[in-house]
Amino acid sequence: MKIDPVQATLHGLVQTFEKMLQDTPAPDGAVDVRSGSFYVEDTTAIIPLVGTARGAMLVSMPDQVACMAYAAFTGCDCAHVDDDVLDGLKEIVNIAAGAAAARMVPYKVGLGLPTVMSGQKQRLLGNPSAPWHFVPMKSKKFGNFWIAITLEEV
Amino acid sequence: MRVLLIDDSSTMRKIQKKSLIEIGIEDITEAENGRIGLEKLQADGYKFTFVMCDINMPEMSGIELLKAVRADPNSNKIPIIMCTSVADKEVVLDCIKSGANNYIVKPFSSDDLKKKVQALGLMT
Repeated sequence: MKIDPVQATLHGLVQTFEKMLQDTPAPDGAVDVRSGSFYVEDTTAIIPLVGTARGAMLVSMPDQVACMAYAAFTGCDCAHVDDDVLDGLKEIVNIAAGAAAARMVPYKVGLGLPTVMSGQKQRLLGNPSAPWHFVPMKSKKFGNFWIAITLEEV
Repeated sequence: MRVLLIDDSSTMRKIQKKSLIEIGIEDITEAENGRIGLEKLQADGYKFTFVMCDINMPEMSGIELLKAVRADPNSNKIPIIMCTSVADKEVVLDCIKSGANNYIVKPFSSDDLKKKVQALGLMT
């Protein structure tokens, strides 16, 4: 590819957290390349990327981290993960993907509608020809979570 | 200062409301799409200081709202800030052509929003 999708994703995510959650998360380990079947965390928001490069981006958090991130994002209290928290995580991935897509030039990448999955030990099935790149993230305010991207040229 | 905040996402309205309160604006009316926003604008007698509006919404989009507000002599002077999650030149140009006074790209901080309001001459 003509760009590094992981760097674009990191930029979008960190910019979103800094500006809207008043936190600066950082990578906390090596990029984990995954295909086939793999587990994600309790609360996972996924957004399709469409255009001259296509794929998807996700943010995956343990429930406690999702709850704290939602509270910082909206200014609302959060006792447990409910539909408001799931909607909040969808907005986080939507905004982060928009900022990431802006860094994917010369590709013209647009966003589809985000969706969210909730529950323990949920699994995704990745395409081996376009594997997911998972980056472990550490936030001093919220805890550990993952961001990931899969992207291929059309 | 009175603000009409239009976004179809209740979560985004919460976030934008939080940012507006952080910069000292507490008189905020919410609407969940352009049509309801237009109705609230008319019902209020066009007295909002400015409008903050999302672009992609069901029933009536932000661009359609912009055109309707600018076509009405009662409301054509009300400043409008458009919010977008994609910094797409075509989208921004469409907003400006349709009569937006300014635009803000998500993600944005309260300081970013304050600068946009200041640029309208509504805040020092």
